[in-house]
Amino acid sequence: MAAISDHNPFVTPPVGDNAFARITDNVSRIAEIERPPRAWYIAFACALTILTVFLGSISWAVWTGIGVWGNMMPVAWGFPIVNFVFWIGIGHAGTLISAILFLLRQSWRTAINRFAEAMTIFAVMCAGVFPGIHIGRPWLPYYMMPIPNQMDMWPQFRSPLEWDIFAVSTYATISIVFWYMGMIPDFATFRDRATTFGRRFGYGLVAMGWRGSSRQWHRYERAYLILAALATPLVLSVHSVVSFDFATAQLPGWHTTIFPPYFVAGAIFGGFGMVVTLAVPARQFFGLKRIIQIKHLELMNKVLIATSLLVGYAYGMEFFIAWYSGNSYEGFTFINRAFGPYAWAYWAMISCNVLFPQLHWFKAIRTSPVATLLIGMLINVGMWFERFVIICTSLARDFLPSSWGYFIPTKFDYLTLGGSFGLFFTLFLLFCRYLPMVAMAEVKAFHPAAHAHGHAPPDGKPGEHHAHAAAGV
Amino acid sequence: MSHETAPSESETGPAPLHGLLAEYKTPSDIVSASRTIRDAGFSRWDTFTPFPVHGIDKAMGIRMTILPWIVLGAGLSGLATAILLQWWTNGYDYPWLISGKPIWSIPANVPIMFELTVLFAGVTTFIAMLVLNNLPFPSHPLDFVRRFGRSTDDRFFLFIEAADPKFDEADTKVLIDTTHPLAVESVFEDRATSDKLPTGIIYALVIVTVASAVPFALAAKARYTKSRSPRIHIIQDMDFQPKYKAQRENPVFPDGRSTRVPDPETVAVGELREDDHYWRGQDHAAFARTFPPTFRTDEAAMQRGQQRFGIYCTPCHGFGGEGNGMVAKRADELAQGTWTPPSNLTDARIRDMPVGEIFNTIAGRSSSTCAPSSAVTRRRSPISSPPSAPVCETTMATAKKPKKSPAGAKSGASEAKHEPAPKKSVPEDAAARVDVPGFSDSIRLGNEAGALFVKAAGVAVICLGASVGLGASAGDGFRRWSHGYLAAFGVALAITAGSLFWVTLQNLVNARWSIVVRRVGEVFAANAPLLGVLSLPLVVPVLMGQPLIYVWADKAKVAGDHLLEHKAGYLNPGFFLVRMLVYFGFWTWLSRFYLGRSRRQDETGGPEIAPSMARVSGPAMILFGLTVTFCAFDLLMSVDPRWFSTMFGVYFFASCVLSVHVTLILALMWLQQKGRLAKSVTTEHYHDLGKMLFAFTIFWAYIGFSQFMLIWYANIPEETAWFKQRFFGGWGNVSWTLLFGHFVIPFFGLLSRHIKRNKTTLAFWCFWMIAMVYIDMYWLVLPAIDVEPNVQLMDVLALVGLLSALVAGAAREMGKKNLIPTKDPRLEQSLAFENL
Repeated sequence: MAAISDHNPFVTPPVGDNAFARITDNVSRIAEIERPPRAWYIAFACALTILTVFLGSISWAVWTGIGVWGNMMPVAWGFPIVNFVFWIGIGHAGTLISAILFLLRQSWRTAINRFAEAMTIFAVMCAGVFPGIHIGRPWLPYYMMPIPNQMDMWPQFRSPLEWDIFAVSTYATISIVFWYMGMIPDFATFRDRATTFGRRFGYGLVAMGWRGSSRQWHRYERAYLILAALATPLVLSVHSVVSFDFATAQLPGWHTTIFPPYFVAGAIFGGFGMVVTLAVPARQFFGLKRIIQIKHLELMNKVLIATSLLVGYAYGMEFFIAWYSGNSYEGFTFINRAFGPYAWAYWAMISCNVLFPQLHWFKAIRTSPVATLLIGMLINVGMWFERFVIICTSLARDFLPSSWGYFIPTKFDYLTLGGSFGLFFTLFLLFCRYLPMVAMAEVKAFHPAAHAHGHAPPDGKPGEHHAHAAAGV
Repeated sequence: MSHETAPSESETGPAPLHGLLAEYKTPSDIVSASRTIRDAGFSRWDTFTPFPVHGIDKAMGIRMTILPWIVLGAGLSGLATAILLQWWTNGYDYPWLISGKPIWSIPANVPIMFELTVLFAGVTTFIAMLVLNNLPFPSHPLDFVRRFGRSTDDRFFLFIEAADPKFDEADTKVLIDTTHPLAVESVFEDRATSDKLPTGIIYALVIVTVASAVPFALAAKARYTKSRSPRIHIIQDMDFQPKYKAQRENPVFPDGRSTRVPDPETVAVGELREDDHYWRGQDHAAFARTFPPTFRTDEAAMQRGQQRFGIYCTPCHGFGGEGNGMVAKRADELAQGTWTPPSNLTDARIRDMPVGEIFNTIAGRSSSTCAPSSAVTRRRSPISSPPSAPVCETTMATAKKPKKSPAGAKSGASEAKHEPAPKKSVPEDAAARVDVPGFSDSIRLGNEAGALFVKAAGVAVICLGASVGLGASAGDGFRRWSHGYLAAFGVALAITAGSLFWVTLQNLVNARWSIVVRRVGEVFAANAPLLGVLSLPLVVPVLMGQPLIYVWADKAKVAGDHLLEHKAGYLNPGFFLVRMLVYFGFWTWLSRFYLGRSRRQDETGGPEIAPSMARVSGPAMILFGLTVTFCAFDLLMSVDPRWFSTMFGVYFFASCVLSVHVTLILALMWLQQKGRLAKSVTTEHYHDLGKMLFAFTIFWAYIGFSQFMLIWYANIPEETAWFKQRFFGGWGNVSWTLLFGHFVIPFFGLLSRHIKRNKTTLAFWCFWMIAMVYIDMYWLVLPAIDVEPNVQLMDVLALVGLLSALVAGAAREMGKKNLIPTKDPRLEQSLAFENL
């Protein structure tokens, strides 16, 4: 085995002169420039500040115990679980874009898949923090893993919370593998364009000696397809398992069979909301308007309409069956959601998730970056409230009026929730700065010029299919 | 790491030749060059491209990788690991009773089985890709070729190794020149890069390895040695809390105790209990011989006393009160000296005892040893409970209700019930040939349609007639027949509604690949009005108030039934009729709209037609989702009007999507057998339809499992009752059949792309799946009337009749016009469609 070559034959990166080179240049430049745009610094400073708040509030919660939060019987789950489900859901859009749209041959995904995948991983990291602390003794989470021990103490594998451990950690692992594998060819591009030893060594290390051999591409593509095919049911399973946390219980408002697909649809909905929230500023500040086009925003907004309606369908079904079942507890729960003490949260959820996204039926709105951004943010808010409504209203009003209560968050609840965005955005900004933000190899492969044979359209006149896929030129 | 090893070729002399590198500008160039090199018989060569070039695998002669098999193996071992892990830990090594389920109960173990399968398969995919690709591969002679840097940017390279047996520097160069490269360059062996790891790195690795073992060694040592010093509290972990423990010393009080005795004469609120007679059984300092006036000796009190006696007294005193309870007998056997035998309650001593004294004894306050309040609760209370309350409120382990057996299904031979699809090929009808620009194919069914219509309609009429006849002969006023008909109708509904969904979806997402298939889907969707007519046998009895299937149709049965009265606002004949009219009316309108527009497109080719269909498809999808959900509620779920599931609409929808793909595949095969669409529809289209069939087989399992598992897990009687009917006895076998036949077997059957690309195997799985859809419908409906599964001829005839009716309806529509939308702007792309 040869040692890593520290020999750099290049003085300057090779400069291409065609469409492929322009794609390379457009994307690589972002990670190569000496100084990123001022907006990046400002954003990074803000993100770091918020991250500090996050770390501070977590440390305090760990140091003093989770009594600093507002969790109190009967609402023992409170913010931490709301935030957990919220962040896990955000992650799902990334997998949807990278895996499901890949299987459905939606080539427009290449414009956004890389950073959507990054978003997935960072969101899962944010999500993992909350149950990790909510268990009360964050230094003992290994109790949840099947580690042989002298006490014969095994995890309880029939608990949905244990399923969560497996689902979320599998999801995180596969997402990272998928993300990393997708980046290998792009790391190789970075390596080959590197002008300093540090960059060449660093990117060379992670590119693992990828040189774009066709024999390697063959296995690589097959592996990518298989990973996509595995990630698709996986993403469905993760939020389904999260929904089992609720639906296996007998609590009114939680025990509903539609929860698994409803949670998945909601997760994709919320995740796409976050994708557009990130995509609009990213294309603005990093000059990616030619790669992430208005057309892509429009398509994502259409996905938002569809998933919004699916979520609305589930809300409606829950309500209908609550009445149809004739179960007075179920009936009460839903009336209570809409008109009880948490009505404000319920209607925030309904308006953000079901009403506002319908504005995207208008072409003028779904093609406007500003409107896209605003509605995307509203959806984030709405999806957070959805989890809040599910968790808090049902726990606060269970079977016995004597055990009713009302959840009041403390300032540490708010700081931890807000702070988690600091973690997310810090990671995301670092990603934008140092990693290939767009999957260059994939964008090139869908470029009209990439079609070599067979039914290729006449030269210079790409067919509609190809023009549709084209990005970056 | 330093620059000492920087290249210095001059010092080491000329390096031997490693190979020849050629550079190309476009993907087409590299593909054609690859063909040349492949045909010249080279073996040690490769091409390098910035992205996977389409078609280069074939041009280079790369064989299919074995990666998928490795992944399959890994996935199966993940599954096996999950099963063994969960069985060993929770079911065997430390059996654990959870919510009254069996120790080893599969449904609750499925999520982790799934996750570990995916985890193993996914990680293996990545590692196997690296290993097969010989990565990481840090240094390569090509790294030193300046132009090769563009291999990851915009240029395409071909490299032939000098080690290839056919390699000859001059000849090979000539051969490469014939492929029109931009440049050809000789590449030399790399002598600059050392093969050895730098010693610094080796030392560092050794040190890190040794150091990382130290904590483990310390932990191991701590486990096997003893120490007098307390353990180190790195984490406080609530070990030291500012509180007083009961038996600890406490400097606050003069007596040094933490535990405080209440002040004498302290009485807790509500516990003064002045009434001696009631609370202590004493009347004027003697045991009372009568019951206290506040205590009512009535029937209820007697029964409660008997029940309490059964629970608390019989263990020692026995059922007859003779002092021979189980505990007493056991104690006698053990002959323990400490045991005081329970007294015989039939003794004169006890019988003559004042009531108050007996009460006092039971309450555990007398010198007598009878003290359920201490023996049972281990709690010696200073005051007794009133006689009307249990002596102690111990929560006894509640007897477990009999509960559903672990879910599932059993494999069983499932007779695939075949659609009556005519099979014989007839000579092609020349008049049906229509040319499309750039290509020609037979796209009209012509006279075949008429023949098919006559045959199918004939079969439909005969079968349905015979079915009705058999139903009448059953002599139960068509009750049994109606159930069988509903099950068959479920399949017909799934096919028709599924087709409508499919067509709407293709328009909604502007699908290109499916244009050649679209018309067939439109034609089957257009059966909606026919289906509306065929629903009359289900609708009319409801309107007449006849509860053949639907109990709620009968006013007399609704009256007095709390749940049915509650639901009567929805489940009543009038509203039912309105809803059915809405469902079938909307479906009829929508399917006619698509077919009409699509055919107008054939005639005018108007560019505005495709967008107009797309525009309608958005709102149409919303209405479709609602109508199909409520139709499933009305027709299928309300067969048992007490049962409910929010998921039910989605569950039926899964069958719809499965059925439409089966229908499309079989219809296309039939058409191709008749020589129609022979060139338009290719293996690629079948492959795609097969993939959807596969995907929705999994989707059905996902929905079905989630619905079942949630109800099984929560175990609420009003929901489990429905599954209870279906999970025991013969219906249990049907459930197992569904698990294996509807999911496990077709999952492995349809996994391989070769099966989806082979017409015979694909057709087999289509027949299999539609049979499973029918079994599913049968399983939904028939348990309502048959205690055990009892397939009768009239059920099968109804199915054959209904499916034939659909075929006849489709044949009638197909005969009229083209079988593909000839002027759709996306047709060309659909014809040229290829899978990855």
